[in-house]
Amino acid sequence: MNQIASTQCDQSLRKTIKLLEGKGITRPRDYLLKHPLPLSSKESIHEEIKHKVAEALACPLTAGDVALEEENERHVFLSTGCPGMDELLGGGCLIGEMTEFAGAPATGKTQLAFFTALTTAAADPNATILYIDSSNSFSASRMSQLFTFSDRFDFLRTKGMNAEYVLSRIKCIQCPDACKLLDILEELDTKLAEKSDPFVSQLNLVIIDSVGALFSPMVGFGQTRGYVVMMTVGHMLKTMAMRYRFAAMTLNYGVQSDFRGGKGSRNAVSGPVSDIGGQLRTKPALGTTWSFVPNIRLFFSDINDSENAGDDEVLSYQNRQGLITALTKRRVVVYNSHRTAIGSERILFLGSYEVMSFPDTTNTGQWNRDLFVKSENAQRHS
Amino acid sequence: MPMKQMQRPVSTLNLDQALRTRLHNAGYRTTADLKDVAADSLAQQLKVSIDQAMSVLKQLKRDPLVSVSALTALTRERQRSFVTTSCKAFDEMLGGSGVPAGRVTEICGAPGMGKTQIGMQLCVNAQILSSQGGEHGEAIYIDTEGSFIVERVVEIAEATLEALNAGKDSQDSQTIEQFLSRIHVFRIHSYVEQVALINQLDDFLTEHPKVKVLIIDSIAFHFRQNFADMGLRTRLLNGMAQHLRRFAEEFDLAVVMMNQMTTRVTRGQGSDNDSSVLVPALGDSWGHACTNRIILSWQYEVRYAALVKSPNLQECTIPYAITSKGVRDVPGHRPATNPRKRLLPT
Repeated sequence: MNQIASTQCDQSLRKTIKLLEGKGITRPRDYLLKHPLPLSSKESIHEEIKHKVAEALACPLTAGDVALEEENERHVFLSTGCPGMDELLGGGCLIGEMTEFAGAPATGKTQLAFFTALTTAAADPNATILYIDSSNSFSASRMSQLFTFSDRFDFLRTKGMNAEYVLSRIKCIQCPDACKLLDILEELDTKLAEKSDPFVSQLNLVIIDSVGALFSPMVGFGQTRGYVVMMTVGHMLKTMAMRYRFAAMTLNYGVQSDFRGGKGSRNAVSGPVSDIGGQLRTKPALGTTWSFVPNIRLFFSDINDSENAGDDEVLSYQNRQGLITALTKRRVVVYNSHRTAIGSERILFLGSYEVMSFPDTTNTGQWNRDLFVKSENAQRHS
Repeated sequence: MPMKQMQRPVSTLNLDQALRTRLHNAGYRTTADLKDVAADSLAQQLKVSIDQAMSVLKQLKRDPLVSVSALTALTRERQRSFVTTSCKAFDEMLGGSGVPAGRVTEICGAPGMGKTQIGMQLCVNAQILSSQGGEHGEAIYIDTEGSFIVERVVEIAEATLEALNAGKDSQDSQTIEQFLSRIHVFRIHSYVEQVALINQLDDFLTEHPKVKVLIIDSIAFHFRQNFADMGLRTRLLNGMAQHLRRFAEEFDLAVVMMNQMTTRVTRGQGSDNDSSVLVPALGDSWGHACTNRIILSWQYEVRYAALVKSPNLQECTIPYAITSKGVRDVPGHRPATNPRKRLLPT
């Protein structure tokens, strides 16, 4: 923040500023924090100083109708590459917001993140994507495979977009710990403000995989500093996303919640997921503190085997190149959101190079499978 | 309106409590406040040594960002080295050539599944000469359970050498002593030792750049007993996982950690609906620690390995065998019969 002394003012004011500095007040913020001042009555504060302080800290106000207009203009969504997931997210990953995918291991979070990155790069030939990898899960060969074989990109491929062009606009940074993440975000902020780096200026999407890996070693009972770092990251990422117009995406762990309420357990945060599955309840990691950071959270979980009893056929999908892949099913639920209905869910089908979803969760018979293929085809053609 | 730079609180710097408090008391709130401060004047203000002041300011000087485009990463990934398991089906499950460098692979299994055997086999295989299709590297074996048996390693090494030299004149062959001298074994007796070792491994890895594989057998042992504070356990484990992932990436080595299995009882609707399943130990959140996860299990008389988690490989199940010679294929097994493995025309 600027020093008060650096503001333009005349000689008489300088004197007062000197006086303030003598009391350890050098910035507008100090002035606010220490007011009423321990200045004696005769050294009354110059009105103009107050004015300067107010100016320095001013926050522009926007009328409601203007805000609505601005917001409508700003509602730009990035597609996840899966129509069903986009629906759950109320249209996709909103630019300026933070979207989180949380869930147990091997439930498709990284795959959906890869798809989002590819779809974003494919949808806008200038868009760039930054992938901050803290769990060694970034795989360029996997991304190249997805782009080359997935039906999602069929049309684009025939239009001549190749994997090299898409991959060259996705960058990855290895980030072993949270301190490094702060450094990355600071540098990113500098570059975005300077508009010096063409890659950074075209940034449409920043993915952090995963915040669980970064913060779980440092948060917990009594770990104040860990929380400071975690919330600073959250704050910086959200502010930057809003200011520089990109979508932020974080991946997070799923942990078992202590729902039995035994000795020493805290009450599980009540969320839609706690009631699903019946046996094991899981929730996103990093606790209540972090839960306020993402604007929207999806929770990924395995589908309980008992529900599928008698349905041990392997679902498979033949894509346009004639490749057949087996599909595995995952459940995706809206965990927190301010835009879409909390608790609404989809079944996610993960294939070797596809992600698909189906809204109906009750019947998994052949009839539904046909419908599913039809609806997916319709969505793809529309 | 000009864009203001982001404010990062000084409390997020990696400093000890006393130094943070001094900074705070001296009126420094954000890293921007520290921008144009000289080390000597900072030392004076904080009443600390000049070295300490330097350590604060050093943190503000960041290394430039090292990011690679996915295209570059693709070329790098294709050049990535592997350590073979001596079992074709196993190697294929892991992407073709074995356990990948740059990744953390977790192998979970009940006692007797051959986790230690796989670990010892990998230690030997990491040393195969480049002329014989290997990496000619070294291996680190972190033994927490006391199950590393040298006699067994000798057996495996002999069998491996024999297989490699079969039908060739063994001019550039290695001796068993050479094999053994390149396996660095650390015997660990408590979780404190384990955490300490992992924290200090940086130096060892810098001194031994040829290390290609790092085995921890098992990661869970000392963490499954005498732990009252589960929060502490989670933090320690996740911190350790962070280090291991970094080693894999920075030193381009394959990290393989063995994990035990535990029984999980799930409650059904009625009281007689209780059932139990075998799951990897250390809880749900530990499942995120590794990049690839493999679960070993018996099916009748055959051992099976299932890849259950991977960002880039297909989930699949393959049979493998543990013989007197080490890890091998199940005789007569035809690979790629699994429908889930029909993929990837490369």
